[in-house]
Amino acid sequence: MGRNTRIVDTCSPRSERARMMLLALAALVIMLPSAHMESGILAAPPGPFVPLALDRFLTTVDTTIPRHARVVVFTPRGGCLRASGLVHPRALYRLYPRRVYEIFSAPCVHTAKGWVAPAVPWGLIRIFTHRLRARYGLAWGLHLAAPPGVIRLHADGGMLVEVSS
Amino acid sequence: MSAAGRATVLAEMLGLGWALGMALFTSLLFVLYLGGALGTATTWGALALTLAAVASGARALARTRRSGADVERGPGAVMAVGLALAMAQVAFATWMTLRSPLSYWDSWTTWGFKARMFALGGPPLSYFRDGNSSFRHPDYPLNLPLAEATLLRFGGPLGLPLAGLLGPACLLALLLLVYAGLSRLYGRGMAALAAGTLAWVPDLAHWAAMGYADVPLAMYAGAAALYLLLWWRQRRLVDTLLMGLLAGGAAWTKKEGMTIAALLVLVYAGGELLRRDARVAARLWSSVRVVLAALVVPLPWLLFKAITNPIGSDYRPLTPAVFITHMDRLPTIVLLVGREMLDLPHWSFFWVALAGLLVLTVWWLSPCGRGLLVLLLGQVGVLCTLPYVFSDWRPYTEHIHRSADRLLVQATPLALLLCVEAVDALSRRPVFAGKARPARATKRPS
Repeated sequence: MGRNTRIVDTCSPRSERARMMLLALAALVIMLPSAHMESGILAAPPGPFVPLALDRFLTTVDTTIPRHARVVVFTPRGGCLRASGLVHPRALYRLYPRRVYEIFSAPCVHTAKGWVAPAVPWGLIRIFTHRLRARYGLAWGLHLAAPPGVIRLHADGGMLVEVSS
Repeated sequence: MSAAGRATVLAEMLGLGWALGMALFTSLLFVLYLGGALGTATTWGALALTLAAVASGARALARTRRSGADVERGPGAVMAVGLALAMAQVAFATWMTLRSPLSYWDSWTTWGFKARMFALGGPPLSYFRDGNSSFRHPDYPLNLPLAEATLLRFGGPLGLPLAGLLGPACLLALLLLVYAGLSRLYGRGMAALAAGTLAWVPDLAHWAAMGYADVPLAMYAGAAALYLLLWWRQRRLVDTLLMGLLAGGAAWTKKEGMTIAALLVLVYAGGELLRRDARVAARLWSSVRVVLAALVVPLPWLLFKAITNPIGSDYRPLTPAVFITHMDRLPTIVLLVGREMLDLPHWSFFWVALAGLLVLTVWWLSPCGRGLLVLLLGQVGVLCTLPYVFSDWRPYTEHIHRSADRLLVQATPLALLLCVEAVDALSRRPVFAGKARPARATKRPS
């Protein structure tokens, strides 16, 4: 029966006009505040959720280390630095298929210059990378106190070190 | 067929081709992954197969749409304004996406990460049972990540922005389908105005640009509701099949899609039960047909899920005991979701306008409008309350603050359809129409 039937609109021209006007009114009620808000966004677009420098650093790391390397990410405990909570999940995402682990270093201390994350001692970097059978350690916004010979990358606020086995 | 009619059918083909083509393609990719055959050559094969299926479906659809409804009606200027408004929002979402594609939290921790895994051959099966990866929701369906994976695999440096553009593309497909579907019921002017109104609900364009799966789910859920309405109004078999396929697409896109698909099928079956113009056996078979159509796309995932039971997070076990223990959360949940609906930057006056229209017209809504109202109350009532009763977040109110707007986005196209139905009912009142007119669902043989 479906193919042999079709809708016949029983609207009068007057109610059809009314329908259009009513919907146009509803549309205006919705669109005007939206347009006002969007003009604000167009004038001052929101900044990026992930710092661009972090992404640039991880892109360089991605091209520097082998595809099946294991990596340990050091982040300060407590998330006292801007975006420090993003470093490990972002490294997991950008460095896939590598295995990426996270080790929390000492919490930040308050100094005259504000909150500062203490550098991660070389001995600790070695212990944790060995324990996790990882060849690389990295940090962003946090200093790794490693000897100059093992530093593979130091750019865009990040640092990559290679730990010999 | 007139040029306007052809344009409407083309809009419908493009919208359906995108929505169902994407779901079919990614479902094929998932089967290839399960068979250990996901690679470059097989991905091209799956794409070729999908394009062939979409082309043959489009031909069949064009044949059924030859004797369409009156799509000519309505002033051309209103149509042009409505469509321009809709396209402006798609352009806005595209601009937002290209500024920082897939940069918001879930877009890369949940969806983009899986896309990267599938672009590199797919995760090991242990990933779906690994507690360490539970924050990335291994139990979520894979329609969006598999589509993104293909763009990452072949897109080169453009892969990431192209993957981000899937959201605006789904928004565009949704608007095309709303325009084409409502054109068949109300004429082009009204349909274009409705598509423009939907596009300007702020959160829809916002989430389309974020790279989350909520707008793709809104596309499947909204389009399925639209074809349900078309079935109720025009009784064409093809609309029920499309509704079933789109409901299946919803189940293959996000966990909530399963509930939405179940509600659609239930409301459809309810509508069939209330019919008096067909035999019981025919009505039963009609409902079974929809269930079968809904299973076509997500079947591999549903079987995989039943066998593997991927690990999830955020929720306590769905047991009556947990429900009774946390039932006292319900008043707070309703209050917070209601407050979210009134959030001007998220919704403008969309929900307020809908509520106002419904208060005025609820007694005069056509049976189809009442059906849509039941569906919307079911979707918002179930999906915006029950998950938070079972939420494992501490405090659970934070879970509501972080996700209620996205759950409402999924119901927005359906709410828009109801809004149009309410406007239609109001326009038939004597104060507007001169004298009361019969409800729309009058049919005659063509």
